[in-house]
Amino acid sequence: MQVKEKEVILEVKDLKVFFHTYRGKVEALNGVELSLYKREVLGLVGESGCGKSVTALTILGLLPENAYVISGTIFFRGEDLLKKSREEMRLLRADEIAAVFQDPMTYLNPVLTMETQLKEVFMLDTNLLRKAVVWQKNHGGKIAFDDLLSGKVKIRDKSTNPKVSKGEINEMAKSLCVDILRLVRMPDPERILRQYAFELSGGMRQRAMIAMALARTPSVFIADEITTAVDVTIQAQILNLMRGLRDKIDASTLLITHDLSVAAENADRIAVMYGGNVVEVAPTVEIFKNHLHPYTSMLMKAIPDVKNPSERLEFIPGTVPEMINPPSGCRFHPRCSIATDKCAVEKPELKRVLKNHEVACYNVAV
Amino acid sequence: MENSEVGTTKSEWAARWADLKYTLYLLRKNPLVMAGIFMTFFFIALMFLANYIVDPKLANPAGYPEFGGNYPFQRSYVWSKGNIINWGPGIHLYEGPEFFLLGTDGWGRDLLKMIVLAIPVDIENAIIITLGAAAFGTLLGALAGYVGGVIDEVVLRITDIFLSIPYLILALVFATMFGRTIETLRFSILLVFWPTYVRLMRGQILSEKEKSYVEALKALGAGHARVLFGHIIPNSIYPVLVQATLDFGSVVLTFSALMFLGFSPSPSLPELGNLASDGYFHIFDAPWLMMFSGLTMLLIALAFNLLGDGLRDVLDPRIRR
Amino acid sequence: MKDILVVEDLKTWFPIKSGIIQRTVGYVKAVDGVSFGVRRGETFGLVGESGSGKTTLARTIMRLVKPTAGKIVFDGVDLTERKSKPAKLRRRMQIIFQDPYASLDPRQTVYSMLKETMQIHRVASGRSSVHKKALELLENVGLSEEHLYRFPHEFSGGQRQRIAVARALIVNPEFLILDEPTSFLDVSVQASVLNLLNDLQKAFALTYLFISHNLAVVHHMSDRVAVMYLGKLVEIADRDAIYDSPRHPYTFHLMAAIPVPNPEIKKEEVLLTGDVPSPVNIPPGCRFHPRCPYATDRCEQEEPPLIENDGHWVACHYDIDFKGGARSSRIKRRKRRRV
Repeated sequence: MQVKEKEVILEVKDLKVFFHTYRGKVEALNGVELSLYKREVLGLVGESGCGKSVTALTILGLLPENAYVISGTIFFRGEDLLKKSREEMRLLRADEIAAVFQDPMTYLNPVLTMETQLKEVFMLDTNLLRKAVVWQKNHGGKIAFDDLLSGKVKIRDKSTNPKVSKGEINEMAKSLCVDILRLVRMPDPERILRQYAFELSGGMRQRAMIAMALARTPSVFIADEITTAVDVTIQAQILNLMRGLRDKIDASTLLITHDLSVAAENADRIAVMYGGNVVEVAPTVEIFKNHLHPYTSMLMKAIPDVKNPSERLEFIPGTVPEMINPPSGCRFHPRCSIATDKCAVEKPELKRVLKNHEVACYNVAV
Repeated sequence: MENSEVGTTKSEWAARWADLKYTLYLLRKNPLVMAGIFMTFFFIALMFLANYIVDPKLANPAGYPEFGGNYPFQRSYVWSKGNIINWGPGIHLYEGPEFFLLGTDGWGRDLLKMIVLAIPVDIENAIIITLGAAAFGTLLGALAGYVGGVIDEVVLRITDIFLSIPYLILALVFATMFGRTIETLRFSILLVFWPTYVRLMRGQILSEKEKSYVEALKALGAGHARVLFGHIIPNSIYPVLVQATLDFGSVVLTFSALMFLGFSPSPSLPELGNLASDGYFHIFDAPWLMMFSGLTMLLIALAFNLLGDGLRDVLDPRIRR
Repeated sequence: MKDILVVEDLKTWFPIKSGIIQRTVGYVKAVDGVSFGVRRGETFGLVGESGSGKTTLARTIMRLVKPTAGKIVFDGVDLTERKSKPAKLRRRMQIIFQDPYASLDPRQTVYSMLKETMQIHRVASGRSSVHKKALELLENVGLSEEHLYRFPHEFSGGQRQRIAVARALIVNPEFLILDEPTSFLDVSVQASVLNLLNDLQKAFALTYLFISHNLAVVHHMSDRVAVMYLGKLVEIADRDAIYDSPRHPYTFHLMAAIPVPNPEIKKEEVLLTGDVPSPVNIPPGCRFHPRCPYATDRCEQEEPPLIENDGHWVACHYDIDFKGGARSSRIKRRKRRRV
């Protein structure tokens, strides 16, 4: 898919995040550079420990207590998110930046029905609901979630609220819940609303989470390993759903996964992370055809491909580095086959080497 | 993994020593725990040294030859003149040559010395009772949890019965049944405390039993005994350790309570509950008796509680790894 | 015997008890009539999603769980007979578990683990010979002496799996069941572990039963593959036959759902509706019929048997041609109610 608009909606620059643990300082992010364009799906790929989830948490402002942002900026709509207060970030979450994480069972409240939880998201903005009720009264017929998307009711309109009863607001919220569950292809939404989280299957829970995230029509949608915990057929359903929603929802997606194949099928561009850095960014087709960074190359060769079987899988000797005592300079250099002396001393910056293709390496042959 | 901080360990015991060092490091970080540890060590040291610090004969009439082999009753319930605490009017002050820091008890003995002599009695009891209850309860709980079935049900029901009665009343009943010697009293209190361990261990065993490594061991051909005693029990023992330290305090208090309620083998036996019971009727004219023996009980219980708390924090597997 | 392992109509049912007197009100039919044979020296892949029963099948074969019915014949010896001694069996058949973080006792060093296994099977005794053998085993799996006296939590996932393999090899088994050995591992580590398994297979003439939900990995490792659904096998065939020309609708959808690491291949959207079912409520007739786009009334009533056709076993009433994609088929479709 081509990226038509080059407008950047989220820009992460030189992000450094450390954690203080009993064993010492964990240098989780070491200068992450990332740009998310409007209406694109950016796949953030990397193995465990590379920092992709930490990046997502930093963007959302959900880092734990022992985390410290040493430096860097995250620009969203012209503002640096790192400079915002906790309250401001809270308002930003769900409204503009939404996220779905890996294990829906732990993220859904087990003692509340789905209706309560889903309605809660809508009720965050009673203003909007009021306006929707008024609109519905004035224009007759029923308002649907799609109408919210298409702008019949201005979502971010901060004008004064007309008088509407609590019951009507509730009704409106409930009908929007049903709508949005239909949007994520849940069978029999009314029945689902009455159920509890444990009564739903894994795939349905994941879809409920996606519904909750999309309810506020965010501009940035972060999907952190959303299909890792589900079976392959359910994974296919969910990814198919995501692809279908792309056209409806005007959001950019940050698709975080360790599975390159998932990224291959769903992302427009792929950013590969290793050891707390983004080491390569390129459009999907480009990166598979012409992977430049040695880590990316070896990652490609390590995946068993059904269509292209090989006798032995090539793999990278050594393991993912410990972030407590990370290697100096380029963090990949101890395992790299083309490393030079410079690599051990100074960390390479992400540089544009081809049109749309950035690599963080001194020794790439272009 | 090139694990730079751990380094290469040369042998089995070196590995275990490194692990222990880590535990100690964690302990060191918590001030309350350190306080608890120091206090516990203090009391345990006292337990061993008490008989050297204070002449044990002072508990018996034989220690007072200057009074003709009788207790020096003329100086019972008195507080030393010039002592820092002024208890107010109505307190008999002692004008004699000796200085009693904590006053005297009903037999005219120096309270401080009696408390020092009492501590080993109490702590020794506590250790014996707790270890006995823990050992017995743990074993039974492990068997019940591992074997399951009828044995499990029977053991559970028995513990249910024990646990349904408030522990002090249960202790009283057993004490009445079994008599008033130190040994029978220990047994009575043991009977009160063992059910908790059964429950604790059984719960741990039930969850450990399902873990992957147990299955792996069975697949490798390990027999039930090896799996249970060599693997499951060692992995489940930490909560029992913590519970045992916490119980130390409770056992001291229960034992003292029994003494206080009149079950002591001999009224002049230096034991904290005994001393407190002695002072009960003299709360207004010799308050120090009850106060200081009670305070000691509190400190002992506190010491072990802090230790137990700290151990629990340190051995919690979530924090540890 | 050509087949080292033969499983005949194996059933493992777990009773569901309820009420004060714990009456059995139903069964979880995790494995409900599975039959297949594993040839000596091959890698037999078993795929299935959660609820399919593949893990229970592995445990039943290893006798960690008692089978409810059926036969397991290992090298001619019927394991389900009471008289078979489990200790001897343990020497010839071993299992590697899925979670490397849980399958090793966290309080044992590597040395202690290996020593214990040697003691159980009287393979070696005396400190020096135990030490020597331990080093040998570690070398076989790509670890070294410095790892001998470390605790499991000091190792990465991949290394722990290697330790598990080393431990399993102590008894010189002929048959190894691998239950999702790489699903918790990173891609690069997975690659090294899979390579190791292949090397060991060649070096020691091992037979593998490789269980996984990761179809790409199964494809890489296996000679033949079986597909399991809700306690029964629905298809068994040579690897290439199953991946390129599946004959059962479930297999077809499963293969179509695998993401391919090649963005230029346009995959057709073939999706299964509904969720993965649980083995508590097994549908009547063909177990797959509620989700099958080709199901007919016959499928709802009659359970199709697993029939062989030129080395390719399928359990389906119909012979469906999937070549044209999901939409074209040579059988008449009846309107199905959406589940």
